[in-house]
Amino acid sequence: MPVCAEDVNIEVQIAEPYLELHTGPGRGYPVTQVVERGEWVAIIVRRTDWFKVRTNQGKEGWVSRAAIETTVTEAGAPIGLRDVLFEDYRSRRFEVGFAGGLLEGDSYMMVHAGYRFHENLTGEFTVGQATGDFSSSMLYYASVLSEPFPEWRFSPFFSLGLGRFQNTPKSTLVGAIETESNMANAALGARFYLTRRFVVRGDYRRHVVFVDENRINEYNEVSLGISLFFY
Amino acid sequence: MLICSRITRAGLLFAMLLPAVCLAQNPEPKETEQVIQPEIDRRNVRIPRIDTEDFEIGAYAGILSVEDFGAKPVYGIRLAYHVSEDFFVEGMYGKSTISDQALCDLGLCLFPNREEDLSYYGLSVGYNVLPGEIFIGRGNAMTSAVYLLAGVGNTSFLDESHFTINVGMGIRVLPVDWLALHLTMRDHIFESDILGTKAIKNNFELTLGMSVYF
Repeated sequence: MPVCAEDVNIEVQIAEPYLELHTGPGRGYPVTQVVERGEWVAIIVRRTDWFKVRTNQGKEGWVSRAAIETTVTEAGAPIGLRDVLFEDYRSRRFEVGFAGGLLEGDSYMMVHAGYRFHENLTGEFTVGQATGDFSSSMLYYASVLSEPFPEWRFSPFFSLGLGRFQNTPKSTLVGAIETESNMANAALGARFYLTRRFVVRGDYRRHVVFVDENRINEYNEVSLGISLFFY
Repeated sequence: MLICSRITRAGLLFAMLLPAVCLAQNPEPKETEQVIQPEIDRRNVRIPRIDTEDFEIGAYAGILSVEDFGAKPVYGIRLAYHVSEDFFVEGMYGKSTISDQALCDLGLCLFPNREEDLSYYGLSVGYNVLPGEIFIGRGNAMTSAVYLLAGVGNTSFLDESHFTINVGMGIRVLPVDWLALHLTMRDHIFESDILGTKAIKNNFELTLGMSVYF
């Protein structure tokens, strides 16, 4: 209900015997204030799993999600804050990640961003850069990734992509020319839901580069990386 | 809040009215407010909408020392996402210059110009250690943290790019909760054969930055 979106801070009542207020958003920051059961605090902002609250007396401090979880709202219901779970991973919408690996033996790194438009299908855009002894390459491609078993924690996928391949030889090489060509690729890989927002992901991808009418280059890529998802 | 509860009530009334209208087939139900009177005052149920500030964007400036090619000013931008209280991921892009003046003075001029542009990018994972506070005077305390960084990226100069590993550490001080000051030390490590033989180059960088949480 966007109509109900209010700028007013949400107020919660402490249900546990007491609530400890830390000076910063982390367990290592010291506790300087304690608020007792029955008192009301306003939640101002959230940073990771920590919440900045203000008491009725105007004292401010940070409390952990675990500590504030049991507080109740005006309506008498628990506030209902919880950790990111596997269920959220299964209903994820966006995914961003980066990975490192090898492209035909050359160091390779890439970033990718994806949108999951169907339970089994994700559209992705990837930018990669390979750095070799003689040249460096940039890869840009859009791909569709299909996951046959999205409900598995360890889930294999395959992907098909289309894009551009740019190759820039080192300037010290004689007669080197920069090339830019179309490319297609196919990949087999797997995702593993690690914890919270983290997913580990590994790919084997084969790139086919259409250099000109008579020449096709093929490159193998292996990569391993980490993704973050948003639901 | 007033508007909100009115809309909720209106919706409730409408929903409850609908089957009644259908059954009664009454074209003009007058005084509908009196027909259906909610007996219990509806509680004000609100979904918690808490402002989440897990992203951090900022800029930095400092000195980058490129092995064999002098130390020059560097400046860049940085975006970070705080995944948990311990971990964050960050991306950065920086620009600097390199100079072969020292080599040229010895008669080994390498570059077309004495000073050439350098740019780098990197993606790193950060781990917060040593949380604490910094005290200024008697009445001021700012939260702080030391963090460790490691990541991969690329450094380009003279039309050549070098796969780069970065490792470093930094200190983050927050004067207010949405603003952070960073003092970061980083080593950009890459392999280069620009002086003839292939060798690993360590390129130290010291920067001072500022960022805001959003």
